[in-house]
Amino acid sequence: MRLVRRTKRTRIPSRQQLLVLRVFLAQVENSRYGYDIMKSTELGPGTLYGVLKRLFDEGYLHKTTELINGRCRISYRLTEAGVHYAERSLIEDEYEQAVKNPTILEMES
Amino acid sequence: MTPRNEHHQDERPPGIIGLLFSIASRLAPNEDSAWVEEMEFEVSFIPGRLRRYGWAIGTLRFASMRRIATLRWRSTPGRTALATSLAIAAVVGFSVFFPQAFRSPFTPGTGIVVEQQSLPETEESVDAARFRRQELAATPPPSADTLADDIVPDVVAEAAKEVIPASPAAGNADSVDPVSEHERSLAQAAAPLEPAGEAVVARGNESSESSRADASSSRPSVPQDLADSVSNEIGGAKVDELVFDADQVEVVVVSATHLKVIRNTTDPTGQVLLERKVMPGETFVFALPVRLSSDDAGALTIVVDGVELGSLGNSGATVELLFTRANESDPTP
Repeated sequence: MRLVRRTKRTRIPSRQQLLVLRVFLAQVENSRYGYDIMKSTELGPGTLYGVLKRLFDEGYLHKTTELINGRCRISYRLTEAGVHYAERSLIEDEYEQAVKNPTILEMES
Repeated sequence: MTPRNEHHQDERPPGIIGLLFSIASRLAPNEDSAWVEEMEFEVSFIPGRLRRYGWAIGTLRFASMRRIATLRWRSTPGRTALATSLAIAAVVGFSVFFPQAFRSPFTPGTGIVVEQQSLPETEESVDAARFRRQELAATPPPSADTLADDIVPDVVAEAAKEVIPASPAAGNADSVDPVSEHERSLAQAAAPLEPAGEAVVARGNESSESSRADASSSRPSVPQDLADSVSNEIGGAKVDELVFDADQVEVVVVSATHLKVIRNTTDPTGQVLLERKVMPGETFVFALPVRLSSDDAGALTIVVDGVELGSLGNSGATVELLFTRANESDPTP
């Protein structure tokens, strides 16, 4: 009997996810609120929180609950694994874009 | 842990936004309800009411997508049959409660034929039709003498030549110069098709002299050999009648209006052949006799045997007419 080991499927980051990761990487140390991320990425709230949930479920995001003027507000920040994942995803995305469009490489060279 | 639930109960936004968040929190799966709650917390920091509405709608979309993502559908024959049955039941139920959405313009066996012309319903076509009507309305109406001497005899002769070529009037019509299409449309637009009070049933095989005499009467724009008018009492209301020496009449829609056509002209509750909003570019051919009513007489143009008789009346005027054949000119019981 042959055992087949199931590996975890690696999800290719979507365009929306790359936008969010790029916003987080711009200020790695700072936490960002949902509305601020939405303004920066110009994504809809439904799409944005879908991306945030996916990143949080994979352990790339850290949430902090703050109490501002008696009202709760949640801020988000990349974890250490999230920073590595974001950097790797953005580099891979740039490489794929360069392969798809070779003129970018020629212009850079 | 901060007292999020207590805060959540106290600080729910009022009005539609709060309602949307309430629906979203109920719709979202349990494992995602915390995210909906976080989005609800965030909305109080968003400036602008419209943006808050957008945020609430986005929250509802997020909850719906998460709910749909949790549904696990495995296709089996039983489930497929169940889904198909539900879909058919939904379509049937929709057709029962909203029959207007499923009403076909063509009703077999009722003598109504609908022709959708190649002119699509676009803003350009509507504007073009409106511009043409305004242009025709701005043209001063010709005098009765002009109509009697120049235009109407030509129209009558042309119609007689087309409808009944073997008639004696056809020979006289050959000597008359054909009127241009523009002059004909001007004459028709200047005097809309308004039924007169007296009943005169003219025939297509009458001589051009008698047609000329009829044309100089009170209703100059209507070719008297094709249509005439009488009045009838139907359902307690006085309804004008147009008598045609033809088996069918063609109604061309110039601008959007509500049109109702009933087959039995003597019965107010007769068979309804058509009742809906008609759009410019549509053409309907009705087998006579029919009763027609519309809330915009200027939006409809009558064509009999290829001859355009003009609009049914002034723009915006309500009209109700009986269209009958000449051989059954008295439809009243």
